[in-house]
Amino acid sequence: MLELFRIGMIGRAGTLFDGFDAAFRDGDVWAVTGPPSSGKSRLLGVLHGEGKPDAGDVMLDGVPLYRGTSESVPRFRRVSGIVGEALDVGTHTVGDLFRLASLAAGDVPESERKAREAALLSMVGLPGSAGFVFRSLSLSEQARAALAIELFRGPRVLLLDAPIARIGKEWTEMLSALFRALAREGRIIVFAERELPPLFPMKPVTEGTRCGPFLLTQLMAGSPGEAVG
Amino acid sequence: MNKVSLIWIDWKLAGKSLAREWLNRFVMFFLVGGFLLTMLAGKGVNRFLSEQWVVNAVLRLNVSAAEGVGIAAKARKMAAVRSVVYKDPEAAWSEFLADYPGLESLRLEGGNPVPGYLQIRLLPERLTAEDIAAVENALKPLPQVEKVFTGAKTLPRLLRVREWVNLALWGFFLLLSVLLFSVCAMQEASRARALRSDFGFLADRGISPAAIMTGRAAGSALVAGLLALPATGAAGMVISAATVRFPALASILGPVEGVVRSGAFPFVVLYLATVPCLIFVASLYGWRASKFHNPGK
Repeated sequence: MLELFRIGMIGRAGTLFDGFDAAFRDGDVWAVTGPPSSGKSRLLGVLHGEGKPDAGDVMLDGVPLYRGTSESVPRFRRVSGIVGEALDVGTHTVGDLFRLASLAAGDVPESERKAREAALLSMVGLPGSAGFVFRSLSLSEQARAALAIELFRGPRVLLLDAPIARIGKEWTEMLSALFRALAREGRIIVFAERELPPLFPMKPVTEGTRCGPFLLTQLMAGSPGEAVG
Repeated sequence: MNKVSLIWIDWKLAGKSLAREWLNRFVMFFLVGGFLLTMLAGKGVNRFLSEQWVVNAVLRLNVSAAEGVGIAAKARKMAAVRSVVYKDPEAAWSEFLADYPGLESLRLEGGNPVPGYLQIRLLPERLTAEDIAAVENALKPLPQVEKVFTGAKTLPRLLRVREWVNLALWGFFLLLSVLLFSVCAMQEASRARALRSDFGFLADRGISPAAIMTGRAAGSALVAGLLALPATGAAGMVISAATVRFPALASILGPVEGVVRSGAFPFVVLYLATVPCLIFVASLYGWRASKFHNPGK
């Protein structure tokens, strides 16, 4: 379980939120929606151990992320993945990034890496793109490739910043199917968007919880037919 | 990713450029190691000087060849003496004629007028004013010895020059070592900068930057140790072959194999142990110079 405990953050215009509690159980899918500059990306960063909140802490299975030992953040990052707004990768090809992900995952043998790489790229609609320079891809392709690269390690917690906006609405079916599949495997998915598209296949479990400037909504991780409107 | 994998992280991320770097380093280890072996084998310029500096003990005219050989044998037993060559009166006469041709008539009047003599060379490390004085004091009282030429007047100045030259040569070795360290540190910094985004990628995925830093430094040190040994060995073989091919060089350097047997060998071991340590530090310096930081901390 991933928990936010009494989180407080201060933005340029003042306090973004304070005393924010949340608990994401294994197999949950959560959407953080809100206007620009509301702190959605910062919240994802806090969840990924990229920046200490001004108050409170993040806990994974009861182990604090920021008030733990120096090994707490690396240990958390080993089991989590983030698809952020930008990936600073120089002139690397998509295949190079899979190679790096493989190193981060404990040096997966090359044959296995290539097989998983091909399967993941096909899944995100980019078959045979391993040789392309990452930066030369379109924004949607970059976002999908980044998602495939992140999935390579099989993270227990997957954080995504504006995946629908960046990947494109025509890929929402693929994304929601992927989120469901990952949730069935017991993984926690948290993604941030300005707003959920009206026809987004995953429906809210309950009314969202307002937290300062943004709304935190748990989505149905079952099949579309199970969704409640 | 485990610690063993991190040792080879640079090879996995930039194998080709790293291979070129290590080829350069092999050449540098060869040159620095070769210079060190040259210095140890020749004991700086001591061996060259001890080869050139000869104490001559001129025997009296009536000293027989057998007596001369006996005195030479006794001189050889002295601790500071490396070699003694006895030139009997006939050999001395031949040398005299070679140097002053046309004086054959000197012998017609009363036999050989040139006495036999001993050429005494001291050990490189025993070419000191005290040891030369000891040799002179041992030979001078002998009734068969007419005169001992030690060059004592110019010796102190020469020995002072020798010390300065040796100091300058060791200084040059130190300079080479500093140069080696600087080049390696620059290579390490340049590589760390080039791989900064890769390290950032790994750090974002839970590989601790401190573990990357120490892992790649340990890898560099390990490869340095593995390369410094054959590079220094190759330098030793080249120097050894050169001394066989050019005997004049042998008189300056002496046998390189002797370094292994002599008390200088620990210095070679110390050098081979220091190289990996220096490269480890160079790698850490390179990491620091690349200004890599983990955005998460």
